[in-house]
Parts: sequence; C-alpha cells; structure tokens
Amino acid sequence: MSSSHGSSGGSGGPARRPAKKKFFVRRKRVCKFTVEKIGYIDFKDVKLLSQFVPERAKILPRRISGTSAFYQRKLATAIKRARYLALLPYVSD
Amino acid sequence: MSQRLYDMVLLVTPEKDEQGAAAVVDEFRKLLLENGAQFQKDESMGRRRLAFTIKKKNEATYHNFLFNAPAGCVKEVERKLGLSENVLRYLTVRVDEEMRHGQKVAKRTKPRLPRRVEGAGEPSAFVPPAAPAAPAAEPGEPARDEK
Repeated sequence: MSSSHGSSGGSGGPARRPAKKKFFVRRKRVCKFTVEKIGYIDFKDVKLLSQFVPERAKILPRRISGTSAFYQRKLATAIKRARYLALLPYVSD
Repeated sequence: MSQRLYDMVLLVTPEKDEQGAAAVVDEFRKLLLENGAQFQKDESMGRRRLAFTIKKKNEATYHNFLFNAPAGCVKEVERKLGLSENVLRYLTVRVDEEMRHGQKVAKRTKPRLPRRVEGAGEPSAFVPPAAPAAPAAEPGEPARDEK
C-alpha cells in the first residue's frame, strides 16, 4: 500500500475514496415516529418496540434505524421500561 | 389539587387464576379510587409469558391502569403494591408531560426523507433523464431570443 509511490499510488488515492463511497450501500432510512406522527411512545406497545430490539436484545442504534435523536431518546426509555416489566428481555442468547 | 396522569402496570402472580388475579386487581382499583384516582383506562393485558424469570415465575397476568390522580396518591398505592405478595412487579410512570411534549413535537416536525437512496446505481440512471431535458431547453432559448 505505502510502497507504491508512482502513478499507481497517485491514481489509487483519489480513486479509492469514491470507490469506497460507491460500494457503501445506503439504505433508505426514515424516522418511523416522525413519519407516522407518533407523539408518545408507549412502553406497553411490545409490537412497536420489538422492531427496535434485534435478536441480541440490544437497542437498535439510530445510525441503523434512522430514528431521529428526539425519538431515539424516547424509544430508549420506553424499551427500558418495557424491560423492567419483563415485556422485553434484557439479554437473550 | 393538581391532577397528574399516571400510567400504571402491575404483574399479578401466576399462582392466581383468572378470578384470583381479577380480585387482586380489584383490591388496588379500590385503593386507587379511595386515594382520589379517576380512571381513563382500566384494562387487563392478559396472561403473558415473561421475557425472563421473576421470583421463579415464567408467566404473569398484566393489568394496566391509566388514571388522573393527585400527587400523593401514587405513593400510598405503591407502598401497598410493594407489600403485596400477589404482585410480582409494578411500574408507575407519570405520562402527562411526556405525552403533551411528544404531541407538540410530532405536530411540528416533518420527516426528513433521504436525498439519495443508492450510491452506485444512481449516477448512471440519472443520465437518461438529463439527456431529454437538454433538448427541451434548446427550443426555449431561441424563443427568448426572438422576444
């Protein structure tokens, strides 16, 4: 990588960056709560919350789900409340 | 005095059957009423499997109250809930402010739709629409010149 200095290195540098961007597939991400105008996220709504709790029972990060910062905060508390009531797991294997 | 809106969920032990659980819930319903609660919602969420074991139990009967009550009410009821052996767990959340604020935000904010959906395929796909657009602009330009 660092050994080639000449034409290959020069062309590789600028070419590599766009190449990376091209291969990075952006998925369509829209904040579900903003779209559906859900003002209050109910901690009893397991069906809704489980969409944001993948297999490992972790809270789905917003960089993946596309949830807005405001709703991500609300979502996190709602999930934590649901966990306390054993509606959602803390851990799963 | 000041009324707040609370959302309360309680988990009744699975050792109680349907009627027994209803009796336990009824006990707390009365207690809430005595302390000045006004119910907005009072519903059973049914018997559910717990996501993990609580006191070696795998199931529980859930019940949900949504009620307006003065500030001191919840404290007394929660004390009793804690003492009761029939209640595995309970949670009371004050929801009025959260709901109000959430609805305000929901009304105000618009969804930000993605500007570009795909990275690789799009640039080539964009060329064909651009080509017909260019000839369309050409007849427009001479028309402006004539005027």
